[in-house]
Amino acid sequence: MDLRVSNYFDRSNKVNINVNNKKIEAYEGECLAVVLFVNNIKKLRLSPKKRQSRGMFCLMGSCQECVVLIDDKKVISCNVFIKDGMKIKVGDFDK
Amino acid sequence: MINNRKYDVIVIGAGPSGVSSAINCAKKGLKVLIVDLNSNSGGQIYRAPPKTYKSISKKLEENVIQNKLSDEIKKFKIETAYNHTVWQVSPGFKVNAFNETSTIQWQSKSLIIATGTYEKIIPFEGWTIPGVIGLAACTVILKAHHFIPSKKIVLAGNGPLLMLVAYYVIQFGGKVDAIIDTSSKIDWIKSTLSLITNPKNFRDGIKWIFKIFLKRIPFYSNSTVEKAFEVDGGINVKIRNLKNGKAKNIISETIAIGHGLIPSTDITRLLRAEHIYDEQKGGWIAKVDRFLRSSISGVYIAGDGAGISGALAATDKGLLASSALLYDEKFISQTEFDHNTYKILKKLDKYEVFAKAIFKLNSTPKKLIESINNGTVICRCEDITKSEILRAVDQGAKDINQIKSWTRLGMGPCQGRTCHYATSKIVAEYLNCEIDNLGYLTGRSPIRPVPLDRVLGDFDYEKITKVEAAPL
Amino acid sequence: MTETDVAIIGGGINGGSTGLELAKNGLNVTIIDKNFICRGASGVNAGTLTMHMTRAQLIPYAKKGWELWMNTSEWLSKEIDVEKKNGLCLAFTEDEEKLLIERSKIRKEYGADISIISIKEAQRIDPNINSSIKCAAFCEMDGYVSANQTGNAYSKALKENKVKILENYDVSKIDYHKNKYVIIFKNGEKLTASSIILATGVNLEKTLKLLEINIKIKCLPQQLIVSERMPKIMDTVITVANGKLSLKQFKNGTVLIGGGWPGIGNVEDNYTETKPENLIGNMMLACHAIPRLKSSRVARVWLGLEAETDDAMPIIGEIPNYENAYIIGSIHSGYTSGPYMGKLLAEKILGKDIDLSLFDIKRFL
Repeated sequence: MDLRVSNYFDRSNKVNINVNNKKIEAYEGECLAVVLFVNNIKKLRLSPKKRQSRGMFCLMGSCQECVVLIDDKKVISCNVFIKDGMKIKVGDFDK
Repeated sequence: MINNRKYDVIVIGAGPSGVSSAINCAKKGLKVLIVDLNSNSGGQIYRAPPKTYKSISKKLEENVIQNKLSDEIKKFKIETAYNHTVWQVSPGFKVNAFNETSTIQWQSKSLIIATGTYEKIIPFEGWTIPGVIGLAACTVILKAHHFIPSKKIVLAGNGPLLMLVAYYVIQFGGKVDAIIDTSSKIDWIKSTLSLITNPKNFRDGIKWIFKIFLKRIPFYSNSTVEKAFEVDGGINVKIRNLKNGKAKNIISETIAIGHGLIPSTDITRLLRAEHIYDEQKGGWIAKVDRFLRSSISGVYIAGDGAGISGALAATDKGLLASSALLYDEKFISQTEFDHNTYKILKKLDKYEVFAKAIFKLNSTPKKLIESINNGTVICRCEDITKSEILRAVDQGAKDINQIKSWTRLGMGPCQGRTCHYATSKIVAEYLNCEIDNLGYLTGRSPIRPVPLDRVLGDFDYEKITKVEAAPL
Repeated sequence: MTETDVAIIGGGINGGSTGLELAKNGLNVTIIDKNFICRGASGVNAGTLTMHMTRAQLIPYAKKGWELWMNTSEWLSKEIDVEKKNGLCLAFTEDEEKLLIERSKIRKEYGADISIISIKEAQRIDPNINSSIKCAAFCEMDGYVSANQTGNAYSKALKENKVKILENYDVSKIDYHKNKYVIIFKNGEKLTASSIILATGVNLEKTLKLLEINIKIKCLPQQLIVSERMPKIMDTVITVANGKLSLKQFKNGTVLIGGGWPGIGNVEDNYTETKPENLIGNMMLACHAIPRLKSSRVARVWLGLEAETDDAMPIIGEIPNYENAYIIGSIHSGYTSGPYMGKLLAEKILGKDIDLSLFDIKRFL
């Protein structure tokens, strides 16, 4: 089931992003954190001590839980908009 | 591109109050810069959809309001710095922010801080598992990004946001498995008289509740999520009734939880402004006078940063703070100032009735704090549990900064924003003391983690500032 | 009115170590702090335990201090992270190379086991360092302590040794008559002591005024920078020839950048403010030393107020014209030697023949 709501806006072009070497389809300009979440890629990183999975939480740039690696740089995914060909790493990248 | 880096006033935050204060200043000829981490105006409440979304005929009300803010900024030719995360503000005033590639510094004579709020979320065992998100995050997914977060969802916490989110999930074709509210039905009924002072929001509220009622969504009053854990195909949600102790388990895909809002005080704490604790206004807030002047000359606080009054009051609070600035900087006369502020103050008094009612629905019951298990992680960044916090207290830590130093709570990348409120509540409850006595986390730069490569860029060793050698 | 044998004003590492040693020898000790134990410079320090940054004349003391830090479970507490690491002091230019060789030689004369090594040897010790260095100075005696844990560790140890701790007690007056000290606090309470020790760090100038002694104590607002947790990017404590960098990665993965790059601050209001241009200089130097650091995010910046005398040497010993009054403080790069300095003062108070003439306060009077 596509969880997109399309009554109000038309999305832009369909593009592909690469998450842990897996292809994911999305629309250009969509919010990365949300796209990962609705694609059931919820486990974005591991917590420092307990090594528990963590994921998107506040969606307003405050909590820092949704950090992923994009082109090997740490960024909060709630403030990133999808671009074609983006390379994203999630999971145990902090080791 | 921003060429000239000096301004009369820098407004931090492009929500409704930031925009109204910026426009008020621009109208009087001041050179204004408005900075925001998002890619457009609107703040959280009217969060703009991504730039690539093309509107088709139908429009959400929030999106319409956002368009208006955006148009006004253009009309008054206000300089904007969107996609810029402020990481350091120093007296004088110097504002440092980073974007995707580098950092930049601006200077201004005055500052209007319109950084709004974060969501207040009281921890429970399992609130850290992926798939548990904030209720506010859920509204952003729905109304700005136009997704439903999952096919099925449990909504928990308290206050009107529960109803709003439930309404939009249903409206957009999702399924709400349950609404779990720490308040009672009587709390809601009691608040009606106050809420009706704002007919527009009241009507919206009725619309939301009606939809929830029609869909026969299971509604758990006086209840909380005690525990959540992953199971095949989703999350097991253990609901506990705080009054009669009864428990029930349901399985859903996502939990969205929120218990109201907390004013953002990062910048005012960093600037060493005076702060006070006011539970009703959202917790620790910067101390302001009637016209929203902070204790630091030249720093004004628009919006909810110095106490929650809600979205309705935001525009007026922006006007009030900027009027104080214009008067202090001699851009308007005493007469004009009195005239402008008299009406605003009266209007704000009216909004306070509404805000107080909302506060009651969003209050944090003692039982909710007591219900947090000892093993629950409180500081998510550093994995610090409730029992580790209480152990530090037992060992003699007497204020929140000592707890921070002994346990590392609040030392992670969020700087304690997510756990400050709950920690204060837990410790105050444990020691049976006032939260004021525990103090608040000292403000530290950077306000958000700063990527070193963006701060430093490429540099040659020879270019590094030389400092005097240490004595041998 | 309460009474105590020894009243120590200032609950940092200097006061705490002195008090702990005195209490272990049977004295009744009270420690007074206007804030909390180790909440000043002791708690916010970079915690570097190095010879490369220690003043040459203090090397013998720093060595003893270093040994104490490496054995905290025996005399202080188990609840404090101390790590032994190799120390590398780097030179990036020819001038720095000259300076490093000269300074290392002098430190060696004072007893530090420092040797000058080539790029290759330095890279073998820590492959993560910048390969463009000219040479490095190596010392095995290096490491760090997590300064934020000192408050907990000292509180616990002091309590276990029956030291009375008065936190949030600000001294407003010290009366001296009939060989007794009456300490009067801002809250109106009083404490009588046979002996007093002033250990108020950057506040020493103000505290000494209570005894009508005027000495200039400089206040150096030092900036510190810490990254968020990151994978292992270094395995040594890194310093530089002119002493303006200390860099290490804690066990938890965070990297601490220090070195005493000044910010803004004053002791009167306990006010501090960062100086962005100096933060950037400090960060650049750190990233130059360990290039991989550049991929990290800065999590936090803070400042501490360091005390320094006019000759940048400590003041430790008896206060003239008063019976049983002592002072300890202003130990430049004193984290390493701090616990030993406290122990020495305690031993002197207990009647041992300890020579503290190098640190005599009389040189400023």
